[in-house]
Amino acid sequence: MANLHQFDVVVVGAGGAGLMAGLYASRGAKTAVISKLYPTRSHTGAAQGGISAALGNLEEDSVEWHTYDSVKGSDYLGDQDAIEFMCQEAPQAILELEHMGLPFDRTPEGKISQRPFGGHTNNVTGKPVRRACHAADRTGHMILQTLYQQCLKNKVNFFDEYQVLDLLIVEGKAAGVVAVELATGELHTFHAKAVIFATGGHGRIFEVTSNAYAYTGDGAAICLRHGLPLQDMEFFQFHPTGIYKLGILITEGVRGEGGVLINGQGERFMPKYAPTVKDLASRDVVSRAIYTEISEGRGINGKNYVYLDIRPESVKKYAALDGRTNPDGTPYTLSGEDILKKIPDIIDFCRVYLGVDPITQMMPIQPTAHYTMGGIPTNKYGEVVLDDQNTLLPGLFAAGECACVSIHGANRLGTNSLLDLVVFGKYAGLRAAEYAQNAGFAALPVEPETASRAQFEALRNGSGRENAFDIATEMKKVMFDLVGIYRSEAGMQQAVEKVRALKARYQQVRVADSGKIFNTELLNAWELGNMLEVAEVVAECALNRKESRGGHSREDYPNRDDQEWLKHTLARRQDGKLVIEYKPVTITRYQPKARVY
Amino acid sequence: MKRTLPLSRRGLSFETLMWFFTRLSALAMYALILFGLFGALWMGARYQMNFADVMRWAFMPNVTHVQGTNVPDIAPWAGLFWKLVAMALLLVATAHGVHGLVVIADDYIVSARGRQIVRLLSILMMASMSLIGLYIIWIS
Amino acid sequence: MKVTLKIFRFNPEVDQKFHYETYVVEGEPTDRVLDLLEQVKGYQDGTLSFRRSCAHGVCGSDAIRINGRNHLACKTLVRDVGDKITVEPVLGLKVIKDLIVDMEPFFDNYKKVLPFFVNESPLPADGKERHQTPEQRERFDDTTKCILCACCTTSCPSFWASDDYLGPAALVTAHRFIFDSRDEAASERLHTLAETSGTARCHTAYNCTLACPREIQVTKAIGELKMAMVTGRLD
Repeated sequence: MANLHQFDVVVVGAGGAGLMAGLYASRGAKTAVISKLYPTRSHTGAAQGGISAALGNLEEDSVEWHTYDSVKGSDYLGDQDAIEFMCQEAPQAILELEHMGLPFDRTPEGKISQRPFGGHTNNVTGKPVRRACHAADRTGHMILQTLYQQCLKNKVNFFDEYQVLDLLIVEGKAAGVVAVELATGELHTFHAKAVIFATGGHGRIFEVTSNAYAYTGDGAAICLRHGLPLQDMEFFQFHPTGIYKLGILITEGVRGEGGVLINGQGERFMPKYAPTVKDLASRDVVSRAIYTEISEGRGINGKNYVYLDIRPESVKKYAALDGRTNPDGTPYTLSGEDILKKIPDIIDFCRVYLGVDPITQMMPIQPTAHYTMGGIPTNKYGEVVLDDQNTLLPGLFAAGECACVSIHGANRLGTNSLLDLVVFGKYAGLRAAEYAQNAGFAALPVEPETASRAQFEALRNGSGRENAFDIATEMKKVMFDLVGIYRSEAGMQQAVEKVRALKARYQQVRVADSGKIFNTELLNAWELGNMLEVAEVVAECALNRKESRGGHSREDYPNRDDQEWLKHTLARRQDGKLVIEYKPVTITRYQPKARVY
Repeated sequence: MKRTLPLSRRGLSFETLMWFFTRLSALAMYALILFGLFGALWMGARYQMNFADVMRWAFMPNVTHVQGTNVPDIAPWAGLFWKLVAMALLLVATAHGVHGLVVIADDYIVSARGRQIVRLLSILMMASMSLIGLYIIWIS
Repeated sequence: MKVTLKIFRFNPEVDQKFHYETYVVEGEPTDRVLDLLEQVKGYQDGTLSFRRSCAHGVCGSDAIRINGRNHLACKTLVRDVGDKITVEPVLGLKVIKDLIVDMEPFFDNYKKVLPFFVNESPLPADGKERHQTPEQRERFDDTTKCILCACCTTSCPSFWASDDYLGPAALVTAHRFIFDSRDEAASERLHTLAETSGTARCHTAYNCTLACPREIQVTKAIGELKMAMVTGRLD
């Protein structure tokens, strides 16, 4: 083992959660952050609209309201103790980011500016509340840059462009990870007391997605291979507004600023589905509404998209109808310049990719696969748990999109993902450092790299009868069509079978590139293996849950069934078979009731 | 609230100074050239000199440039005042030009020692060019 | 439509010298150049290597040279560059393999300008945010957009010529902090920029401004830094 590194804490992934964990862990322990991309390329940077906290800078707001909105948003599947914890920590977390220099937009008095977002309401009036702190439509970019910068300031050790291939578990404890250095193809072993997974989601298993190429579910797949459970994998969020065909995200902030959804008949349809908050209902509700409009023939020109309209005259018209006013009581309006200032990147995306100017034209949009609600089960300190008794796996932590605390339950509220990263990234980092101070290094296996080497060898020595690109394309289509917004028994059954068939075909893939330096073909093929692994679990868990809740909507079971299904799914691989167990949902203050927006 | 860094906190490096000097000296050259041009016109170039001579006067306001022309009275051109103007333009222009060369050389020569050598040579060049120029201005 | 891609190829484990390879792929005018590269990689030559991640111009992975000019492959559509496309790695950084260049010198320069917020003064008594007016925030808004893709730095003739020039991207980062009313390390940063490797190397070629996929006014930002060094005014 020529390439052996020893750190107290190793963080895998350098997005918002990974950097936050790295920053906090490094204050109490020798820490390394390993990332397959340069940290600033991480997908946190694509988050747009905002990060919520009940600061009440522009109007009355409270932590309780934020908590209730998140519980309701999760369709009561979120663990309420964790949600309460997150919402309580939120104001402090935002202020901490500000103190790190994050350039939030400002109110005229110089405070952090906030905007309305889907599902965030004033619990008394039921109207949308300004809770999302933002920096134009690049809030994620600013968070990612700020955290990376603070990590540099605090001299955190980075291993950029190292792909983690395997987790080392010795005698039931995490002992480190194995990674390949992309620039040389060399395998490296990182011996650690604590490992934090912050590897992001797996949106790339779907055809139309807002997610980056890097979102291949690596962390989840590695856990599966070790027989660790994944929680609530059936819940995947489809964001209502992705650019037609491309899936590029158009922030909910557009609707927060007054944009409305328009169908093929030129009619605003959201009031039919969510009479109170209309276009600012939860994402699952809006995505289903769009899908329903399309399937009932009211897409634009009968095609599978609708319009998002933020033209100044439309905003003025619908704001007047809704009775929306500025904080000083004057009628709400939005000029072309305001739009350019508030959502500059959205305008840029539309101009570049569609040739459409949102100030004078409507944007064609369709729902896009966006966020992984499920993931590696953890408690609120980021410690990975293994079962319904919350048994810990000592030394293993997870935070961010790859983790399932669970605060998002069956459907995540917009802006809560960034909050999740910051709050739970921080606590995972702190807890990991604390753990490392009191723990010793577990002995490494004799040949820690064997499993990783074997996976690469298999890809190099396949028969070559199958093309990886074809398999990926088919998987994405199957998952999007059959395990998408609306799901049915027959469809999902078919999806499971197809994904299994694709997995078999994957064994025949051969990587042509025999080089070591930046062998991206080999890495992409390895990532495809992860995606197939995860896709199968997603499809199987979805098939297993016989109810509709949040992001999981079944045509054959259209209602929520709290009697039978108010519980988390825990799925693990055992001898090649998927074993599904359950874990109760923590309910503190809010008893489940009908979810109406 | 105004945010201004006092000189003590931002320091005054050679680069900053020279960047500023290059801008100022360019402006000064424009001013001196226009001044020389108007001077020449005022002193009869409107009638007796052709365009090429006027340009030479403007850029190198030196009495020897008038001697070869059909201007009958060169006395006002050879006075102390115009010699001072000529000297000012000469010194500003050589400093401006040689610093420009140094800047471009710095792009390509990265080692500290190399840069030192180039700067030394440049200063020598600037000094010798200025001396030759001064000699021509003041002996005529 | 048929699109012809002429791609710079270099495999350090085999080749002594780079060469160009031509591929013909089926593409739409609205396809991204990145989509075409993926097509080539998926079906014609898996060894073709390039970086990419977000695929919509916000992560900065896929800065390459398309028909001689720096672009993000994911933000350049076929209809903008025609059906004969030459794809090469960016200039001024060492090519590692195909379109992948060594980004370390670029990030080393970035790290030289103290690329992080510095304010050691006590926090406001109420523990809340440091106040900043919308105008003060607007002052450095343009340079907060930088995604460190290196399009600007690798289009800069001074950077090509000089091994030690910090480059436009690092200067943009310096600008983002120097003009932030809450930051307190302007003095240190200006001292770094005042060295021979700093703003003195910018000869206002404007290539950076043209190359920036985020439409940052890079040359203007560098000009503002030069003025701040002379006048000390940071607002």
